[in-house]
Amino acid sequence: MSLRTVTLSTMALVACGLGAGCATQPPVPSEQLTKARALVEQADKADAQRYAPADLQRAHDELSNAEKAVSDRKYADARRYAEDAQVDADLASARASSGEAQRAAQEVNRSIESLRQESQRQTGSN
Amino acid sequence: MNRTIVSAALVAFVAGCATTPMHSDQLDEARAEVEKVSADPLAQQAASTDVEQARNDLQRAETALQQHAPQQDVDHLAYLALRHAQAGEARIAEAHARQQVAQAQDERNRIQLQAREREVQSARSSAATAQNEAAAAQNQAAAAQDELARARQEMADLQAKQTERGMVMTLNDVLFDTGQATLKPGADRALDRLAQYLKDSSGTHVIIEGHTDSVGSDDYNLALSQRRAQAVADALTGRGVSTDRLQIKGLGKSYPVASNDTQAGRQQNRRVEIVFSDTSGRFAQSSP
Repeated sequence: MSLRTVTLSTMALVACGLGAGCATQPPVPSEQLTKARALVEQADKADAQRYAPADLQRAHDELSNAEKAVSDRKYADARRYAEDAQVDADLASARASSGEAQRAAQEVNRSIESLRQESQRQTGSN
Repeated sequence: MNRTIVSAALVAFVAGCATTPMHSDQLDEARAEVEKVSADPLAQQAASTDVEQARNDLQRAETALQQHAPQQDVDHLAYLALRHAQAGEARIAEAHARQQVAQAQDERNRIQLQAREREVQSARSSAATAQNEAAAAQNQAAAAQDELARARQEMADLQAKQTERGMVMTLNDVLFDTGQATLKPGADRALDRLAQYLKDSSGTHVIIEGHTDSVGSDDYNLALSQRRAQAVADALTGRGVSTDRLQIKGLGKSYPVASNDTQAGRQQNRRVEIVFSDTSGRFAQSSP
């Protein structure tokens, strides 16, 4: 192998590396967008507005950003935004569900407390 | 020359993409959060998917950091890890809340059951009290009836008869020798019974009336009847009956119970009558 061949090979390799690392346009993140839309919709339905409004807002914003990035052909950004929208929407849903369950627990505990007091009153009056 | 080219290319490669992140606050936060959620006892049960995703994301973020990926990528992956971990925490909190609800429902059932048991217990004890009271009342009634029966039996034993003056017992003259006021031993049994009866029914008073037949003068008969009545009274006080409860009357020949024309009739007329009051000391009607 001649010196020239080595040099060319190295340059080719570097060019290749550069291209792969930075320049190649990734594909449109359709799957991530679809999933993000579904999760945001789910969070809306889960009454996240009530229990996790900030998370829900963030998911909406990120979904918008993702869609805007797609129209700007910034697919790597679009993918990141879509993924962020997914986790934020999922978190909003989880927090909504958890908030609902905690509210139910508080209610049932309150009703237990009043039942207990009533029961003690009855015992007292016996 | 060649070495220079290679070095330049490498510098371009590294510098061309991004600054190399040696540290990421986002990643620190994600590490802490993932560690925290993983340590929760309910993590496996309530949030295994979230925790697994969070760990995957975190691993990818760490790898990206080690491979000097752009800061943006590291932070993005760390953010995914953080949010998955937080979702896991929310689901664990939800599981806690659901457990509380389930426990509270058990507790509610327990309280309601207790309340019912108390009611039943209370009803039972009321019933038991009522039963005891009823039993006591029955015992009292039975005792009263026994008492009445005993009194009747005693009266029967005394051969007392119901008259318009109340219960009246007659001791006939065979208890006395003719013209005498001394009780004969044959009277003992009747007197024992009478004394016992008076001791048993402490409220009862008696009037002891002496009667005679028409033979002899009025004065003689009055005095004799008086003495015979007194003899019976003495016999009773001798047996422990208080004199307060005894009245003595000598009525002579004025109240015959049979004809004085025959021997048998006169014998019936020579008698001592014991008139009983009720148990509170009242007589049915005043004696002559």
